[in-house]
Amino acid sequence: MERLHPLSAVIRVLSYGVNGFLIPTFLAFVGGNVLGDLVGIELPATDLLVVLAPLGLAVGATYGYLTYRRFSYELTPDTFDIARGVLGRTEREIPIRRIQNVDVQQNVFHQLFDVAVVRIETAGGGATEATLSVVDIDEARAIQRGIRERRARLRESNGADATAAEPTDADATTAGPTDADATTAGPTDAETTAADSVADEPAATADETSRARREDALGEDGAHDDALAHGAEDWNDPAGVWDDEEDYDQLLALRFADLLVLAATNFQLGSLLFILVGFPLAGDVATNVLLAAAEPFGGPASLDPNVVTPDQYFVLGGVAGPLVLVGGYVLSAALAVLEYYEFELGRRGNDLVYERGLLQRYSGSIPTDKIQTLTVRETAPMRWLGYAALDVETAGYAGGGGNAGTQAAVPVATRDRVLDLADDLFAYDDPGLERPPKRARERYAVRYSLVVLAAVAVAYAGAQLYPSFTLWYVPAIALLAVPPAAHLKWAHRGYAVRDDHVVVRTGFWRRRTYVVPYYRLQTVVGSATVFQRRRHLASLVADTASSATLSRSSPTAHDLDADDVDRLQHELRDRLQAHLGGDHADEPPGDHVDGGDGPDDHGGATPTSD
Amino acid sequence: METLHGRVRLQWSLRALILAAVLAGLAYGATLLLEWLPQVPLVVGAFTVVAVLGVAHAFAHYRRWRFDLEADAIYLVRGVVTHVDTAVPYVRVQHVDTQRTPLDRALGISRVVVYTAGSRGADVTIPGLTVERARTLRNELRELAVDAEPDDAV
Repeated sequence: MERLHPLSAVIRVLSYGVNGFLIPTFLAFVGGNVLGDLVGIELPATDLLVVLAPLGLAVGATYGYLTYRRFSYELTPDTFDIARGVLGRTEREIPIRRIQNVDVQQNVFHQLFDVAVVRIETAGGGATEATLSVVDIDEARAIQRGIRERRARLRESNGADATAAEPTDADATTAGPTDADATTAGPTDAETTAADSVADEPAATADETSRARREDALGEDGAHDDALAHGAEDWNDPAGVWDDEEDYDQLLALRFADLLVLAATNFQLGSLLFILVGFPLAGDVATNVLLAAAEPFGGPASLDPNVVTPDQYFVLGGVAGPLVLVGGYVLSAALAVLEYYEFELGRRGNDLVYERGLLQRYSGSIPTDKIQTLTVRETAPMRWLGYAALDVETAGYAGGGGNAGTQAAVPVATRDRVLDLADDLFAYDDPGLERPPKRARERYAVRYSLVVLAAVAVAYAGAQLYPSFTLWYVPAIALLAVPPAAHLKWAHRGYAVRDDHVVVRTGFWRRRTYVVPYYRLQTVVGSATVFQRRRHLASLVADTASSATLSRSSPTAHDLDADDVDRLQHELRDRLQAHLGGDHADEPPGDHVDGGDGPDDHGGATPTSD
Repeated sequence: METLHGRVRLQWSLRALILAAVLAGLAYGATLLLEWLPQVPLVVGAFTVVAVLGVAHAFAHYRRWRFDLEADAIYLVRGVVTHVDTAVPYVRVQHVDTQRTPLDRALGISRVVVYTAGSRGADVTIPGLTVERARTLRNELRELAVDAEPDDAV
């Protein structure tokens, strides 16, 4: 078993120690003042603090050190194991075949000391399955490489020796308690479902036996717990010698000009929130900027509520909107540059690998045979400049972890380059899409008109309450924008049913074109709201296990003809069956062996059609 | 296409009545705070409107709900305001549960939950089944899922 980098001990002692110091300090402070005021109990806050704070510091620091001492990990031929925990122990084995993304992250401090945080993701569970914080940067790369090479070997041995007693998918999912390899501690992998019955058992027992068994088998020394991390060479597997010089094809590197395009076209809605929250903090400066900008339009001379008329408030509001937009835009641009500085995408074996970032340096690997969905993402400005972005989505990331951004395989590149890459990965050829029927466009026009009229109505009600407010009809100007807006929304929606995948597109400001391979479909959902039914329209959702859809909508073809949705739903189901390999659907279960679930295995299958 | 057990209407209606009672309670609270609000008409009105709509929805929902075990997938048709048709291919079924909430047990019914790895509609619930039917359905689904043999795990 390997240890984390010794620096982890320092980091943990410091951070837990500081917490241990601050918590009693805070409690003593609050307790001393609040309790004293409210209840009349006079706590000797200072005396308590003198005792508790050093105690907290000592306890925290000790605990921090122990979390380091009690954390170990190991890359075995077919699993990645970690054991951690001071009070409650967790021992976890992650089957290599189930690993999705492996990410390496370095902040500025990490870069100074040449260490990094490694995160290993699988499709199961609600959080990152293994986080190594921190290991040496060479070690981090060695782990990435080791996992890639082991996965490649497992795939090969499976393909070459189909009847071998290798744990196949079928075996693993039906495994009983006897198969200790499938008995991972905790919700680690896709088979947790099947392993549920055994997960309740004391996991450590099963785990210990399996480890002992494997170490016997390998003839390795089981207990080098005391040894420090050995570095990269330790990963050399006794069962095979790995090439140090791996094939690396660079697919894409972001030049400075690309970075500028990215900065100019990448508008993050989140930055607006940041500006709105930040505005009160910026205080006088922000107020002055706002007043100066509003002045030409008849804005007030100050924000004094006694002086400002309702009309002037209205003008202020109208000016503040665009200002916030500009602020958010500048902020987004800065963040994009920080995030994608020196971006480089390449291919190593079966993985896509990337590196990016200035202050936070990221490097990740995405196994191409685990890709669920490709998304070509084009904001309106990107389209005007002939650029696009590509998201490569796996089932790896847990929702809401803030990791979703790391899935952008290509943050920005010329549209041709992005389509080439999509063609490489999924044989995507940018087909002409079938648009929704024209009556969908009427729907959007009605919807937008209602929004505008509602705004006018609110303004009118305001004018009734405050007679000095006379500009209530101004929002009606937006009615002029309704027809083009409805048309654009309609024109940027569509779908196409191709040989290997279904393509779905939606969005004008941020247009997303989803490429969903049939063999990745999970559920197929048709839905029609009462308003859609009035026009005989319906929507079709082609859901995959992609974790990106936890934070945003699934690939959906909006507002198609209801009959088309019916037909498509059946067609997608049929094609899913065909691409699973309909020819061996009659075989008894258990005989079939997973020969790798890559696109290549399915590309040859002939889809059936209605 | 199979329908749900009729008693599920009672369950959904009860749920609607509880919601109506909660909302009426909130309305009552509002009348205490804002004294100019007419107390009796507001509370009674809120309860009646929500209860009537809720019960009507429960009956319409029952009439719409259909499911079927087709050759390749379990197919569900449901939804009153928004019609939703869901197809869950057997190959994508991760596991199947039968569940009984306290209200289910009081009414002597049960429900089946089908889990997939998908991100949307990852768990599909078939409510309002008899206990026996829920058990057989779960077993059928398990057989179908095993036979469908997922060679394409995530």
